[in-house]
Amino acid sequence: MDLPATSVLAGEILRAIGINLELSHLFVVAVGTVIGTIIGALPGLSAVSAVALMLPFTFSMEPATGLIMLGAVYMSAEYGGSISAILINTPGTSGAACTVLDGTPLTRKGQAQEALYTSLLAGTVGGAFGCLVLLFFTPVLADLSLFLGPAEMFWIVVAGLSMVASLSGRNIVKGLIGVALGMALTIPGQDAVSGDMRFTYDNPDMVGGIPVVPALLGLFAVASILNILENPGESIAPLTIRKGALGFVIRKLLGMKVLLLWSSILGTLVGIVPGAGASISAFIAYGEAKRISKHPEEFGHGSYEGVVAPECANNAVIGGAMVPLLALGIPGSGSAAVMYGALTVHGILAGPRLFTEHGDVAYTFMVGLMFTVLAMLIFGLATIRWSSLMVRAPARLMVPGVLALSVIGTYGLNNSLFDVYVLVATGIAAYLLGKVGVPIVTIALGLVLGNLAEVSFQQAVMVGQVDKGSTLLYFASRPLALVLMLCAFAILASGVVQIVRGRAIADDVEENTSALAGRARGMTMRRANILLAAGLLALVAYAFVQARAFSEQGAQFPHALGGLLIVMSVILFVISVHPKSGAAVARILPFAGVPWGLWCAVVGALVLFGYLTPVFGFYESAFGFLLLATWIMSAGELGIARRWLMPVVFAFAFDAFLYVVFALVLQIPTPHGVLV
Amino acid sequence: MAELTRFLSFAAITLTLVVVPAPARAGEAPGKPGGYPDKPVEFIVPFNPGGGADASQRVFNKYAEPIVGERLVIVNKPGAGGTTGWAELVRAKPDGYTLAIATPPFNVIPALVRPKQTGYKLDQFSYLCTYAVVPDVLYARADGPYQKLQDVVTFAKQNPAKIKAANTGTLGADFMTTLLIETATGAEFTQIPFTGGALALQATLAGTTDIMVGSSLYAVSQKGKLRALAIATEKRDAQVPGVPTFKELGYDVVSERYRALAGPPGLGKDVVAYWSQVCKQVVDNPQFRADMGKVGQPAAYRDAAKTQLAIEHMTGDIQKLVDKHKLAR
Repeated sequence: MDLPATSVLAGEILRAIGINLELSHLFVVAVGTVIGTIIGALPGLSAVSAVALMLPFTFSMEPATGLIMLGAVYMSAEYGGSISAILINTPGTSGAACTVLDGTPLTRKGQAQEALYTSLLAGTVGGAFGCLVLLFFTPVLADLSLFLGPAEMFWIVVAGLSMVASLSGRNIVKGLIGVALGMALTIPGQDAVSGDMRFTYDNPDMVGGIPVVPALLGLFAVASILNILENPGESIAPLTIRKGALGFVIRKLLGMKVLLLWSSILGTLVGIVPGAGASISAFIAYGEAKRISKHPEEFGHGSYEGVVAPECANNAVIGGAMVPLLALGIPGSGSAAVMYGALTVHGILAGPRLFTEHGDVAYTFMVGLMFTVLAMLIFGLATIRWSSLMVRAPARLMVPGVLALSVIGTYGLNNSLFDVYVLVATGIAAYLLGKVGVPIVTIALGLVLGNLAEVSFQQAVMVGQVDKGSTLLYFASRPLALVLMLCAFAILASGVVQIVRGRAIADDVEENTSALAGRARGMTMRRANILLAAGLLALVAYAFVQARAFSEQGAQFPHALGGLLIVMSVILFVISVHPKSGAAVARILPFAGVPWGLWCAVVGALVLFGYLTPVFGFYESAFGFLLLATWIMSAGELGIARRWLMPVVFAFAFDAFLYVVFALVLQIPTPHGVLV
Repeated sequence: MAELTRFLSFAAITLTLVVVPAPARAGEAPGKPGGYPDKPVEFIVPFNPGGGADASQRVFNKYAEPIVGERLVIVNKPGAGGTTGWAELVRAKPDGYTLAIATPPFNVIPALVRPKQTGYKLDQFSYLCTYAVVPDVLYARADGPYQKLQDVVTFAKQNPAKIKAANTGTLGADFMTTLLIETATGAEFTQIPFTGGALALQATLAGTTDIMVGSSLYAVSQKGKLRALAIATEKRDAQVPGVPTFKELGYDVVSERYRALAGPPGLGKDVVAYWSQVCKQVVDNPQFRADMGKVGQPAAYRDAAKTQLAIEHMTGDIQKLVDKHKLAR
């Protein structure tokens, strides 16, 4: 694509601004922003599904109008994902998975409002940065994405995986176990490289593998909700409404100019890379923020920088992702693919000739994205004081509500009950793993990057064999890959430094000071560690036996992960049985605070909900679940109204809310039942 | 006490469910002969919104709705390369109110290479009609060394496995077409799998791979970046008249993707005939043909019997490849 002359560009932009100021376009931006923010905040429905859900509505619009609407939904959904991440420890979109790390601790400290303002403003900065890059540098950067091959992709993924050091807290052994388990979740299904059927058990649903978004939601939403059960009488968090919260946040952000710029750049660059998206950019930006921070020890305990980096990056991704779409016709992300479809339906072919043949549409859309950023800011500012009140909701209503929302959000993603089962299963597993000290976010990291790691590596091997006769030579012959490799090693090295300095190889004690207090019964961490190690070894042994049926190519990745898990399990085992280090962890009782009766009742109700949905229909089963779960959770409430009436009223009201949002507004088809 | 309350709450639910009348069920008068359809018809699209199959079905529904006089509702059921949605189709009631878009060879290949994990058998589809046929085209990078198909074949014969062909997943449709080209030309490539059409395109544009099989759409949208070497049709395609067919170059490669309508097994003959007729009317509409051309999926009509025949033929071709290369898992 040729660079347009400056005057031409200025003229195009001015004209596009004029078009965007038309009432119909402003209306579309406003509607798209509101819908996008809400869908983004709903657990389960990701940014891609938000865009996909809105797609049919754009078919009757003008191409540019429809694209602006989708752009508005995409942009604001990436922001909306942070709202639930901060308030209820549940990333609404996969790009917000990192935001829970510091967003939730801030909320626990009563600073939910400040955290929300931080994510909004950071998202605005990142979003605007990405759009400006898109508007002015598309021709230059589009060619950049043509320098990327599997070798470069592989090192980008390794750089992402190196963030495990930053995400592991004080126990790198368990962090690595988490990453390996997360990557292992990407193995089942038909392997795109070898064609092998891995761990599919002749089950058609397993052929597509474990769906990422439901699994992520299980990791965060379900697991964190089960944690709330430990304090069923309380609200999720205190909320201090402070005057001048916004001013406080603005002053904070003014002191983070470097971080904002760096996160924006990282986000935009990752966006340009076809196949990498918001979640990867957020992980990388978070790790980088911790690396360059003056207070890395605050990360994970409510650092504002820890909210700024991922939220800035995941909005900056959008401008970046539009670069290869508009300039080359390569939709490098799920959301971009939907926009490609939207263009196609209007008979516009995204590709190298888009700017010459439909330049007006392209510029109107790019400028429209800027308007969207503005609309997102206004809508966010107007609503944060209300949305932050959500944390005051009592746990007995929050638990059933969030679980029901997660189930329908997951179902709505692909209209698949299998996804709901994945949600519940990963949720329970993640809760237990989290209890024994495996950082859940490392599982998410592995889950997001596992498939990319395997596929790009295998591609590099195949291409390397043909081009250079050797994989190593191929890696060595790509200058950009070498640069990226050095970046990845630098991140890895700084992680190792962090670990050595903090002596955080397997420190369970520091992480569990709360679990140490007073209670005398339950399994010790020492025993839990030994059980975990044994369980993992058994899992690996089973996987190795299964993998004998795979082709050589299809078995490599499972073998590598298995090897890593064996090493980590052995280290964990040795540390736990060693007299000195073992005695230290023997004082920790990880399961001491768990109300098992309540836990089993709520999990049972959830499982029942999943299984009854195909029989009685979604909204009917949801009502039953909401009623039952709220009733169970209200066991300690006094008075007939609170004990009896409240569950019925809440179940009815919340089910009606779900029906209005999902059936009437979003028109997501659910299993039909007796009534609806 | 707890037992009693649990009972009461369930009783309340049950009462609500039973007593409250269900207006949604009012219109369900079944099997009015001749009155079909008298309520909305659901179309399963087993892919994500915005994809090729989704786009074509939406265009089709737009033109079919006025003819049918009922709403034609699209339900996206993506997963496992489309097989999740088709498995659901064959389990649906054969009342004509649950249909699906079938996109051979995408529904055919899984049933041949992984029959145990596919969730349907090929004889379970009741095909209604075909409304578009998308030809496969072999592409190379425009500024690369290959100007003609013969260049590729010659080089590949002298340097076996040195030409890298991008596909969208081992055992997928592009993979099979590439195998077909290898078999017909005697050339040997190294197939590099990617996890989606966009990434295969990126790889070919970036020079990571040398050639790729893709839809004829790229010949228009990527003009100047990709060079169409040959098209896998019987006769030259009107959209890209400058592209020679494999056949005229002396290689027997015909590979197309159909946009067909299908219903569950045991669908009534009258329903099949009805949709065959609707299809014909839709495809005859010049406006529809123009719209389908714009989304790169040339409209073409085949009735139920011809669709069945064409797909059986396609199945036979793929089965031969599967047997020859031992691809079944």
